Amino acid sequence: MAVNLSKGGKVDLSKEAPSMKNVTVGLGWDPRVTDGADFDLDASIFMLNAEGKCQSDKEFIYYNNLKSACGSVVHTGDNLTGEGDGDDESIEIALDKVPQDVQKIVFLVTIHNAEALKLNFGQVANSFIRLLDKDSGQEVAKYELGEDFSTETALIFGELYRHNGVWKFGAVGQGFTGGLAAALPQYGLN
Amino acid sequence: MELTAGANAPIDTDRFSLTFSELGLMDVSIFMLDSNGKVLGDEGMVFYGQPKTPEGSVSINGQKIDFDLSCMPASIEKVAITGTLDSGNFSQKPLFKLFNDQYTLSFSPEGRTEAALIFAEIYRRNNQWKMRCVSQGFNGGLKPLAESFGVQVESPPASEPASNNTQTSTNIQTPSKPEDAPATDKRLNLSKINLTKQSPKINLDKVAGALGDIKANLNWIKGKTGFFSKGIDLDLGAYVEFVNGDKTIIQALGNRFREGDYIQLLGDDRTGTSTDGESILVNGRKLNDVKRIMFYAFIYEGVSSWDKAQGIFTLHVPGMPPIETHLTDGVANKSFCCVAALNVKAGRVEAERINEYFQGHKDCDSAFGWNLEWTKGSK
Repeated sequence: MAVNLSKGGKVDLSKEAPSMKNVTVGLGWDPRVTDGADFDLDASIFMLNAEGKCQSDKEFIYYNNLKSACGSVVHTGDNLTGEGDGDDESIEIALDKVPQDVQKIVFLVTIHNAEALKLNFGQVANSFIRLLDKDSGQEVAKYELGEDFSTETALIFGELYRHNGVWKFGAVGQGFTGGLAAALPQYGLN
Repeated sequence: MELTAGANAPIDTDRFSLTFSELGLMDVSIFMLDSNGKVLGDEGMVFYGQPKTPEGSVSINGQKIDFDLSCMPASIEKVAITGTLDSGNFSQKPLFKLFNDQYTLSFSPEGRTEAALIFAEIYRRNNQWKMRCVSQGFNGGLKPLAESFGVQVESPPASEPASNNTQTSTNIQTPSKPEDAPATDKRLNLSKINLTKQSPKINLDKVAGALGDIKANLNWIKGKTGFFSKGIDLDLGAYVEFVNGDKTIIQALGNRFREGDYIQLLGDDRTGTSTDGESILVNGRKLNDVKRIMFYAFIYEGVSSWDKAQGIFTLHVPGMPPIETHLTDGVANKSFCCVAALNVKAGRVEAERINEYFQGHKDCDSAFGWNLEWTKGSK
């Protein structure tokens, strides 16, 4: 039974899914039904150390760098429209292979070209992030972002983080304006 | 509080209204949607041909939409407020607003390519009604809009209608429910009659005397009002000629607001705050005594910017689609337009587009043989 998280909610994976080794993080949203530019949402992943920074740009996984250097985090590719059932973009993470100095993995979603297209998360319906056990296909946790946002064009959907030796997942729901480029400096990237 | 595109906010009261800042710009339709975002049937669409839902939760009253959420059917999860254009797209329209005392939703024409827009949604969320500013739509207008809400749209027949008027007709068919078999006609008649230069006349369906109240409305884009600029103030008036030879004028200037129970001017929108323009009510039950009524518009203040005013004259006849004519081809130095007429001939009533421009009342009078005495007046 998956846990439905609301903004700020957390789940302890060692309790909810103790046997889980490989995680699939699914991100989804409804495709645009009206005319105009498609909702092209991009998922980016930041693997952060204890200082909250990426060691190098190799720990920044996005549409032009689909796999981390260590191979523990794999972005399965960019869905340009949100078409199709279920997850629109997914990231696979082998928890055991995540380097020890990575304390936190942040999932950021940005709307491609949002400013020029005058798009924001308030216009995108039914966006969610969910965590699945990749091997069993069981859904562990889900956070529906739905109503919390309007003018934001970049949103931290959630994060996986180490806490006292176990992995936890948190529904962050932190939004800001500006695209992917605006988010990079806070993680020590340019 | 201003709601930008994508923003949502709670609605704390069951009964409220939303008002359009400019009226007559477009046709407003409201779709009552279930949890799948689809209409349940005919009653799921509120528009000028069906201005309210059976239980009264949503009704269109002129430029105002009234809501009573307390009687909203439980099956309705979302109400979509939309506007469609007969031609062109929203980039050719002025900025307009949808507002009440709590929220304002602004819609700018800039960069718009849509001919149909979803302005807002009223929807349930965790036992709370909310409103979202959507501001998205369809370039193709009403057809794709209606289809997105599960309304099947039939294309108009290819053959030309035999009547002498132009109908912009889109027959809409709602999804039939199994229990409806044998199939009943579920078409909603969305047709509207446009009187144009090429087809300027139409006969009303009923004989004179059997008609109800006919509302003649003039609406226009009032423009910005401010300290240095005055908006455009149009006055609607009417010349009435009776069978017995009596003649009279109905207009705000000179305080001639009514003539018995034949005809009445409904207030004067001089402030520009009304969104419904100006209207004249004609008692259709007494049209047997009338020979003709000619409706005219004149610019009382402001320059003769007919092109900026984009006036639309609409006759609302009970049981008929609205009859519209546009005040096109205005001449800059002529501030008076004879817009349209109702002619009664052998017991039949005919609506006629005239759209001729004059220097003033006197010129128009002599052109149409009214033979009235005119003196200068002010209001």
